[in-house]
Amino acid sequence: MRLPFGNPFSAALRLCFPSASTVLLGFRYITTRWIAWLSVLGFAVGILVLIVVTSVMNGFVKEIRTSIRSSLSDLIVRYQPHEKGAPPPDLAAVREALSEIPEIDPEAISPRITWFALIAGVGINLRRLAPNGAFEWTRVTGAEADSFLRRDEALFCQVIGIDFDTDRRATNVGTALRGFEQRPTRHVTDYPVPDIEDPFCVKRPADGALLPDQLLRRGEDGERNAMPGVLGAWLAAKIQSTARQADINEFFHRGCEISLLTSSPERLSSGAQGATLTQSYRSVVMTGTFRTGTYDLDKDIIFLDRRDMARNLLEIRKDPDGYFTELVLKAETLDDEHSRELARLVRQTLERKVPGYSFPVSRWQDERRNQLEAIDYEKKMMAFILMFIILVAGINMFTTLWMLVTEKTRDVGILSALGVSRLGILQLFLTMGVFITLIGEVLGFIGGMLIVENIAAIETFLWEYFGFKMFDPTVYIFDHLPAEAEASTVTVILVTTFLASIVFSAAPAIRAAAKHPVQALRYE
Amino acid sequence: MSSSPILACVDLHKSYTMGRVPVPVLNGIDLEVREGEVLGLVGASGAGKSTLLHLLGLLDVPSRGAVYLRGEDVSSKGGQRRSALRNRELGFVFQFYHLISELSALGNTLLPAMVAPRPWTWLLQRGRERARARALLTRLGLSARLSHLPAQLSGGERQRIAIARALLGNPSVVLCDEPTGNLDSRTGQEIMDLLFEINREQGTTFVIVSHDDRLVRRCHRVARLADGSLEAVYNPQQPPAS
Ligand SMILES: Nc1ncnc2c1ncn2[C@@H]1O[C@H](COP(=O)(O)OP(=O)(O)O)[C@@H](O)[C@H]1O
Ligand SMILES: [Mg+2]
Repeated sequence: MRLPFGNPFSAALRLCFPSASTVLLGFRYITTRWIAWLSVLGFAVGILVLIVVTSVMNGFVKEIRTSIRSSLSDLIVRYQPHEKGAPPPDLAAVREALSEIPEIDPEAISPRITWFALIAGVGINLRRLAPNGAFEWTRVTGAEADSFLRRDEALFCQVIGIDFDTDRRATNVGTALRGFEQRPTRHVTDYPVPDIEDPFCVKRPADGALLPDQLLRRGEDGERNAMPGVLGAWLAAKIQSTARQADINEFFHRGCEISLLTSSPERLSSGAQGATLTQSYRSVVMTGTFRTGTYDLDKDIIFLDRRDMARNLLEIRKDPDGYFTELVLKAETLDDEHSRELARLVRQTLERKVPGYSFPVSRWQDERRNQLEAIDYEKKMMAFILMFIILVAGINMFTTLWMLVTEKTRDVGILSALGVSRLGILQLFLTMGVFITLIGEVLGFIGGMLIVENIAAIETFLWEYFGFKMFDPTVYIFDHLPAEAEASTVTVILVTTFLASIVFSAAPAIRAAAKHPVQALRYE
Repeated sequence: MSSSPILACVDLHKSYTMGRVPVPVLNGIDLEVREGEVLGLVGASGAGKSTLLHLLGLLDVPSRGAVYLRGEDVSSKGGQRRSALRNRELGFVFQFYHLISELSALGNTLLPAMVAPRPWTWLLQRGRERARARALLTRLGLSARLSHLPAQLSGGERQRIAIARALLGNPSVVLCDEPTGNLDSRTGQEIMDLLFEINREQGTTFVIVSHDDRLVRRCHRVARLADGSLEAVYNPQQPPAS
């Protein structure tokens, strides 16, 4: 028996290399028909949407991995004394113990104090040029220590005391201070700290005092100084809007004060008749804002200097400089398996060398496990669902080609007479499918990449001209829309679409090739 | 004019099946086409002229019998092989021109030359082939129509393009199915003159199906079909009584 196309292997090979007439005709048939362009458009839109959506999802995953990872540090060591009420372990002893582990950078071991507070009020200070030529600070009326509380408007916040010089090596605190450079956004106002090397400095060398003199001087009257603090940019924005609700119509800016309502562990434990909670007001003056890009962090956190915080906020009297609630560490390895191993080693080493405490160690992956997995899963689901766009584009192309086969029946006869074989006819219609797909893929790829590269500008444009909020930072984790095309994902999209298109053009092509040349010639 | 048969058929049968019943169309045709001649093919409508032409042109396979090209049995060869022979050895001219409407006059003429080569080899040959096609179209009086689409041309012009397309590959035989059938008598006359001129100048062999007496009278030999059988082969200068 003779196979219709001869030796199947050589036929398949010939099928992959169309002749010059096939290429020319396939191209002409498509470019002269608007309906074929519609099929091209179908593929272009499908590819565009797939690239944009997977890139945004991919950007999310990447962003979470980098920003959450570094803001949490690689390892977080907490402690629990075996004896109730014991002081925190000796910092020097802990450092000494950790120096045994080569993967831990000794320069990047940093103690932190994590505490909680309510923002009870805001003090807005205005800086004006006085008639004598000097700057004069005046306090806005109504802006008092409990101006929020009086209106039941207190804001919750997390106060973290850090040693900036070592903490910046273990976490991304340093880069968060430059958040305004890295993640431009229209959602919040950034107030960069005057001195990026010393965020808690209240003086700016060139510009004189950042703070109103009376605020700085208050310490001399036996009262406590306001603590310099760096606020999350979203927290600052929340304070601003709460102030407005409390009829304080001035900007909350650098140099303004907030009052924290808090209590201290010292007061908690020193109650004579059991634990009683005594609250106290503490002032923090904003030297600037930071932005990690993670909304959850930027809306809650106030960074203070650890020693300042121990002394003045928590009122630790016994060795306030050695007080901490946790240690953040930077590890050289990021590998999941290896870091688990390292966490165990840190715990064992510390418990052996520093007796009297247990040291639970957690990794950043543990802290955000659910989030990471959910987003990874969503990315896959989304790509799967979006593949249906390609299916629709494929069906669209199938219809176009099927109609074209009917329309071009006579041409099938003519081409046969000119010496085109059945395989050549099959190839012609497959080539048309391939052209439609390739043109669509190229257009979709270019469009998709343009959108991905300019997503921030597009988001802003939609907001400014149409009031359309494509992205709500209070719902998502980030305050900007991250998008990053991944070469492997894009390749999978393009190749899958290409293969699908061959499947969709196969049936029309076979139908065309099955036409008898003589019948086709007689076709009216 | 040599007398060796370039194309021949022996005991050629063709029947179509309508439902279950076979309908015979050709009943044992023996015919020789000699190199360099113009062979006329006449007969009433439905006699089987087109069917015979398609069989001679390897567009269809006979139910019985064989077609010989230069003495070689070609009708039993595979589809791939027959397609290649059609491309190299044969040319077709049809009543309704059968041009590709998306291609220009030049594009239509060049098309058979593009069937065999791959795109990259075509790019190397393109210049030479285009020059040849241009010369051929100029010879046929279409030098000012090279980039026109078929829809922008008259019937006579379209048929000239079809002739140019059939001639481009220097085929052994050109098969014409009523080439003047769709043209007014003056244009038909021009096309006719052209075909005989080409035959004289280049010695191209033609098989022409026609109803046109003026054309038939100028053929070297004429074969008459009636009800699927070859009734007579004769010299048109001395037609047998019919
Ligand atoms: N596909 C077909 N099925 C059945 N009969 C056909 C088919 N093609 C042609 N015929 C018949 O074959 C006969 C010869 O047709 P054709 O060769 O076109 O005649 P001519 O060209 O001489 O007018 C006609 O009776 C026609 O009806
Ligand atoms: Mg006919």
